[in-house]
Parts: sequence; C-alpha cells; structure tokens
Amino acid sequence: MSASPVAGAVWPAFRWALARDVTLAFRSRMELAVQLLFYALVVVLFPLSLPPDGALLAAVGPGVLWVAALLASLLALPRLLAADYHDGTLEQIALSPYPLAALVSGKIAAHWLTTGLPLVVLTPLFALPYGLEGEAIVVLAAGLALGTPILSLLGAIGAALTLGARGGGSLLALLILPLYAPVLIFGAGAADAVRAGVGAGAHLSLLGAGLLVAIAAAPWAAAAAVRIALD
Amino acid sequence: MNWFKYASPASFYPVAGRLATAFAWVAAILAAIGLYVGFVVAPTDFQQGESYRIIFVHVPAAWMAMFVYLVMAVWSALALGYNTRLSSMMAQALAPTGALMAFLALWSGAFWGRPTWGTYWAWDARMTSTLILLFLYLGVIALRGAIDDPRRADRACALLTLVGVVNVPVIYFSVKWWNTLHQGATISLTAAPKMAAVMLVGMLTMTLAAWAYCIAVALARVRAIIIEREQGSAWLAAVDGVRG
Amino acid sequence: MSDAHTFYIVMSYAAVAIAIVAEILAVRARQRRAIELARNAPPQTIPNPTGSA
Repeated sequence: MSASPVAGAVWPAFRWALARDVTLAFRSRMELAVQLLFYALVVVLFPLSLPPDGALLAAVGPGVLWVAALLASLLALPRLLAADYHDGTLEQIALSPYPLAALVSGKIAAHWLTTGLPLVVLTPLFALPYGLEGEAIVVLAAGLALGTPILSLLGAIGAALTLGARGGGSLLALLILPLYAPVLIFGAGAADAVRAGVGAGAHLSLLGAGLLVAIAAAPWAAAAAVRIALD
Repeated sequence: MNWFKYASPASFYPVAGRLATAFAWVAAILAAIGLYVGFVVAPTDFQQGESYRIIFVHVPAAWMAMFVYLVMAVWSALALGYNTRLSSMMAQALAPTGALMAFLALWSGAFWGRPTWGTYWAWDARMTSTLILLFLYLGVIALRGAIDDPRRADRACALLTLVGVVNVPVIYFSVKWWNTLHQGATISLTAAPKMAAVMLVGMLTMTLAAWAYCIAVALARVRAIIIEREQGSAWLAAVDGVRG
Repeated sequence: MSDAHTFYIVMSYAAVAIAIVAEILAVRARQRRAIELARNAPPQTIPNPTGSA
C-alpha cells in the first residue's frame, strides 16, 4: 500500500505539507477569522451567564479561556484532513513516497499556526476582561503556547479516525475531549497556581513534557489512522 | 495443543458457549457467597454504619471498568498486530460490558459518597478518571457504529483503544495532582476506610464474581457478534436455529 | 440510621441488579436476532474477496 519512504525526505515533506496547508488556509481568510470570532463569542458569553463578581470571573477565567481554545481547536479539525479526504488529495498524499508521518506533521503544524497561535498571541485581549493581570496572563499564554500544539496533535488522531465515518463533529468531540483533559488540567491549573501565589513551573514543565511526547507519538498514530481510513 | 485453531470464529463459537455457561455459574456462586459474607457475616461498620456495604458492588465495578479496558486494549493490540478478526470481535464484545461497569462504579460511588462524605459527587482522581473512562468506552462504541466497513471499524477502534489506554494513567495522575493542590477544599476521598478482614474477604469474593460475570457476558456477546459478522458462512448452517 | 442508609444501599444494589439483568437480556436478544439474520442470509458460494466480515 505504501511506497518505500524516500531517504532524508522528512524535512522537505514536512515543509511541503506545512506550506500547502498554510497557503490553502490563507486563501479562505474569512474561515480563519470566523474561528477566531467563535472563540471570542464563547469568551464573551460566559461572563454574561455568571454573576457579575470580579473575583469569580478571575477565578474561572483561565478555565473558560482554555475550554474555548479546546472548542476552537475542535472546530478547525475537519479542515485538517476531511477536506483533503473528500476530494482525493489525501489518498495521493498517502501514496507518495514521502513519509506519511512527516506529511501529517506538516498539516498539524499548519493547523496549529492558523488555530492555536492566534489564540496564544491574543491571550491578553481575552484575559484582561476576566480581570486577569500581569503574570497570570503571561503564564496563561505560555500554557496555551505549549498546550494548543498538543490539541492539534491529538486532534489529528481523532480527525483521522473519523474520516468517512458518520456522526461528524460530535463523534470527533466525543473521541478527543477525554484525551484533552490532562492538557486542560495543567494549562488552566498553571494560571490558577500563579493567581494563588504558587509557582506555575511544575504545570508548564508537565505541559512541555506532554508536548514532547505528543510530537514523538501523535504523527505516527495519525498516519496509521489515515492508512486505516484509506484502506 | 494447538491453541491457534481457536483464532477461527467457527471453532471458537462452541468453545465460547461452553465457557460462558461455566463462568456464569462461577459468577453466580461467588456472588452468592460474597453477598452472604457482605450482608450476613460482616458486622456494621463503626464509622459508616450500614451504607459501607455498597463497597461490595462499588469496588468490583470500578476494578472491572479498568480491567476490562486493559483486556480490550490487549485484544486491540493483537488485532492490529496479527490482523485476526476474532481479536477485534473480542474487543467489540468487551466494550459495552466495560462501559456498564464504569457506569455502575460511578452510580454506586455516588450513593456511597452521599451518606459517607455528604456529597453525591466530588472531582477527585478516581471518580473523575472513571467518568472519563466511561467516555472513552462510549467513544469506542460510537466509532464502531459510525464506520460501515466492519474491518475498517475493527482497525480504527483498535487504534482508538490503544491511544486511550495510554491516556488513562495520564488522566488519573493529572486529576490526582490537580486535587492535591486544592487540599483545603476537598475531602480526602482517596483514603479508603480501614477494613476488617471479613469485609475484605467479601469484597474480594465479589470482585472475582464480577470478573467471572464480565467474562461470561463478553463471551456470550462475542457469540452473537460472530454470527452477525459471519453471515452466509457454511459452518453457520450447522449451528442450532439456523437451517441451511 | 438504618432507614436513611437503606435508601442508598437499595439504590446501589438495585441499579446493579437491573443492569445485570438488562445486559443479559440484551445479549440474548442480540443472539436471537443474529441467528434470525443468519437463517435468512444467502449462502456464500465463493469466498468474499476481502475475507468475511
């Protein structure tokens, strides 16, 4: 089913997939903007549903922003693989002699650049309305910077498993959200720790470790899932 | 003895039937003994009164929820490694039972928590990771239903199960760690009450009963799955109830 | 004391009993349905190219 991988082609394959997906994403800038607006909407709706208590908002702020990031990442996942699957491009990609894991990694990186990175950069904009300040915002952004790539990596596995399956986005959410739980716990926990006066070093270190493990394992799992879907 | 011949659904079908019946009897007898020990022999607990007796179903259910997932993962690994369809069928048969065990663990845990610690639910490591485990089970079941081609579903569910099995310890430790940081607010639900030997015997007996039950039900279910998926095969004609 | 605790014990054990009965009945029903399907299924005269499901 797969041709023998071209030696030393990992980096070129990664670059190619990354460039292609980023270019395609920027051709529909509206879609990216809409995703960001969805994130903003979730962030805005929460305070409206809670009592107007400053301390309460600051306490739930990191959690809300993290859950919103999760949902935004989830929403963008169909673009990662399903679009290519439906028009046959994914099959061509899988048939190429380049390592599928490298190509999938490039796509995941593109997903993060267009979904996760904007959230990280815009953290102060969304965190200030919750009454978070200074170090809390920095740690929140750092947590998101480490955690959103993990969301993209894990999300790719789920997206690949649900290719061509019924149930669409809800099924994908059901499969992936349990896997997201530790990322959420440590990411939101980091900001909470800073607010409580305790350091966030341990949280961020664990997130970093999780990111390394995800980078090491997720592309291969996702590539295996893609091959399963294409059989 | 050539065990590998049982990798064929056709030859495993009658064996599964006999084993299911045997394990069902074992489960019933062990449950009778366990319930007798639990309700008649074991004394009223000094601190918790009568409600502690819930552990005789809660702990077995919780252990089975975890153990069944591990066994499912083993069958999934075999399915991906050897490409045998019976391995996938076994994983498929175990999922609903595991999900049920997880649900019963949560349900009985809630009714044990209320009289003991005053709350039906607490976000401690065990309950939260059992809840997430339930979602993992439901995810595998949902994925199987969502993919039409049985063999593709086998492989996808196997991969998902293996990804999940790596996550279960991660989830448990992350929630446990998250909890210890909020020491003041939460009650220490992880400290199991000291148990008299009698109570321990009852609990272990019930756990073995639950184990035998899960095996029996899974084997009975795999028989149904085998028939569902082997439609039209020649050997099926010889099975009771199927003519030609 | 016993009264209040009886409620919790009953809720737990009743759930377990109902669940076990329900699961057993469901598996039995699934078996019957599968045999019903097998009875009506056309026999395979040549092996399925992808192997039987």
